[in-house]
Amino acid sequence: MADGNGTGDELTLAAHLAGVRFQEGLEEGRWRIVRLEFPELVVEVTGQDFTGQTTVAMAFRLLCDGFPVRPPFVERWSSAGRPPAPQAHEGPPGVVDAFKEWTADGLGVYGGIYRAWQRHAAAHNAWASMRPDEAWRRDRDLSFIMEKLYGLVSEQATWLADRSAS
Amino acid sequence: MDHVKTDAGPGSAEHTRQELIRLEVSLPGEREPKALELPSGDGLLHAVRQALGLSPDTLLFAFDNDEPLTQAPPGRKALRLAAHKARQITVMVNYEHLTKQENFPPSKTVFKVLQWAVSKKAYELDPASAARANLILLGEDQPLPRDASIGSFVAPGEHVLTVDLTLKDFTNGGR
Repeated sequence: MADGNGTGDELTLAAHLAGVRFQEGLEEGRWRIVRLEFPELVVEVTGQDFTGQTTVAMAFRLLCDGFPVRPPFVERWSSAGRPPAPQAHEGPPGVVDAFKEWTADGLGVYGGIYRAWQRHAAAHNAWASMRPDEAWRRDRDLSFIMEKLYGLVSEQATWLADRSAS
Repeated sequence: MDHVKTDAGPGSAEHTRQELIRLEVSLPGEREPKALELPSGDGLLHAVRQALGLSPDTLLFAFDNDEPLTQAPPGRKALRLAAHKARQITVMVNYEHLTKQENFPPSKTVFKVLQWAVSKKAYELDPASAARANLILLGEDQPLPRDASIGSFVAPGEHVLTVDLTLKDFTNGGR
């Protein structure tokens, strides 16, 4: 955690983590910090279906160098390494698509969560400029990304609830 | 976001005796919430109404909670509230040629209403369609922010919100 002597990106991240929206999510149990060693932030997000009866927890690793000018790089995380991409029968299409394996343009490495708010996906097919409502901006709060992650995890919970009901 | 100054500011003697709670309060029909920092405890709800010039009959809900608060939730240091005089908002969701409606408290997030709209309780969209679904105000070109409370789109004195369910694609970079 920043001690007041950190770099600008570290201090900005610390300020966002202390902000009302991030703290409210912590207190509501929607997410928790697993590890913070700047620029790496690992969080666990707990989503739920509409009824609140089915919950799912997933962990994510955010790389926050250059924050907030650069959007964080975000990927799924576990202590054993990044979980494999889900197969089509393991989740709803939106979640399977977001967590798929893909290569970042020009980098030749895994590109991270495939959504317009994520560092490498933002530039892919000019996605961020086509969907400004989904894109990261430097004036956004970190909770914007946390809410997106909460949405994905809740989508998975809804899918599991529907499957168990049918 | 607007920050509202309060009489009992953080440096006041009153604040030094009590824990502070930081709040974001969504007001009826206003998209930008108000930020407050107030002493927690029994007088919190009164202090919120006073700081924002809200009448005593204005209900204060914690986000996504069904019932209005009657006292400050204990142990909280950060809280998002939705203020509204309506206890329930009738949400009318248009999709194709149908309209379905349900009552929600003004504190429900757009996300929760969207979860309802795509579920078996409403339009029962298949998972592929549900993944692309958003709620959008009539005549607007951007979907409603999912973390906003529905009350922030319903003007004071009103209790109906009409939206379209849209399936605009965002799953493949727009191409």
